[in-house]
Amino acid sequence: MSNNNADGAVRLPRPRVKSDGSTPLAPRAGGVRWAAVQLALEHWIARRTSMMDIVRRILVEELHVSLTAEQIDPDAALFGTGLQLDSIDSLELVIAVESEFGIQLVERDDLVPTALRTLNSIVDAVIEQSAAAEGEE
Amino acid sequence: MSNTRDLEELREEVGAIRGGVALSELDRVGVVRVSGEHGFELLDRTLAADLYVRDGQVRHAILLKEDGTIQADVSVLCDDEDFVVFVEGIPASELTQILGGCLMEDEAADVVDLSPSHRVVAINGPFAWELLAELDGPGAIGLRYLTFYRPRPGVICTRGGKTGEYGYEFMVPIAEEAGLRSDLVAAGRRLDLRLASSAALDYCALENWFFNVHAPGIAGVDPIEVQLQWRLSNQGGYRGWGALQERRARPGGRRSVALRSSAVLSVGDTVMLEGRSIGTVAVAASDLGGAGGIALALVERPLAHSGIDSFTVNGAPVLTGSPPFVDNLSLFVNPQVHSYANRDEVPRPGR
Repeated sequence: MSNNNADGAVRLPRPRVKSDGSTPLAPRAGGVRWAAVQLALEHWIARRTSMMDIVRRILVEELHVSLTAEQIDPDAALFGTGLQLDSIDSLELVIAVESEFGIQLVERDDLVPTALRTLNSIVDAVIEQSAAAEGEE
Repeated sequence: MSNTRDLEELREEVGAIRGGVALSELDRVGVVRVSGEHGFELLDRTLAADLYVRDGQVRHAILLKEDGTIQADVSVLCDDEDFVVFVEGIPASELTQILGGCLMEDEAADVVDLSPSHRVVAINGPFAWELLAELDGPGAIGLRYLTFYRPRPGVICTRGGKTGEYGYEFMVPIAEEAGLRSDLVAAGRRLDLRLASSAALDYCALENWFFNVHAPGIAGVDPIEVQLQWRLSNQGGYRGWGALQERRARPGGRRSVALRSSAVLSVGDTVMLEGRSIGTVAVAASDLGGAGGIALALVERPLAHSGIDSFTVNGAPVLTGSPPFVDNLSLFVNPQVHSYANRDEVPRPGR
């Protein structure tokens, strides 16, 4: 796992986005004091932001997309329309992300890796795979 | 018609788009032809996108108002030395006027509104390619995304769409529209082709996170707020560029985020965080795949992230997620292997 995460010491809450891209409803933490909610929220956002920054850097420095890091929006499509990456880019992207985060981002026989659709979907997959790896330890 | 009936029809139309193929009249799409020596310069100066587009290719672009907000959703087709522009959000006649106003005195370009003489119809669905092949032969299957060809004189067929499924748009002279529709309907019987309304296309656009300029709650947004920075040129100088730079420099701001709730969500609803207003629902729909609603909300930028369950709308919890809301069947359909007849054999996660 990269040490670049600003809140690297904080254990992630369970991911709330499934690997298939759907977003099941999670029960809200009713009765939790605002300070606790705020703290959890800040940790969550800091963790995601840190991961997004890393993936943005990969896209700019290694895949040479024509946008600056700030211009890569979290939900913009990476392939087809949007950033218009191609299949060769996808291979580079997977290798770079897996190397950076120390996880397996997609199954090797997954012909349609939906995890690669957007910056956000990559971060979702990294979080999920990281949590799974932590669970196995 | 009752709301229940409306919802049931919408569900059937969306079902055709998601599982088969549907035919739609794109009466909200206008068409403009730009030609002449300085046609490229005119479009490049007016539209916000980089128009790196070769003959036969299509480029998504956007037209900004002078204040940097979005005025129209545009696709530019490079047709030899001319450009065909599909425009949504304003009439083609208005785009014609805007382009005319942006033409320099020493430039030569012709801008013609084709809407009085042409219509645009579309087919969308994971088996739309099969319908196109029925109509125009198996070679049509190889049409690449964001390219176009001429299936018959005067007709342009682009591969694009805003549903996340295979999508093709036909620009057709009015005199030939009925014939084309008749051919599509005849060829589509085997594929259970059905008509899909603008409402169904809008729903699919939301599910797949395509920008929908027709959504009333989107009025007045800028491309940064709705995550369309990939459509912006870094060269600058285009219409609305200066104002957009000012908007970019302002602290705070909003950004779109996907919401899902077990409760119905409506445009204009306030998104709350522990008693504080943090945003507004801009596009919303009942979730046809389950209970509750899905939405695009514009939320304070620092809070506009996926995976948050602390927000509420009308007192009910909402969950922010990473769009799209669906895994499109088109992602798993291989035209070399599958067909509508054996659609149950298409492998999908969870099956």
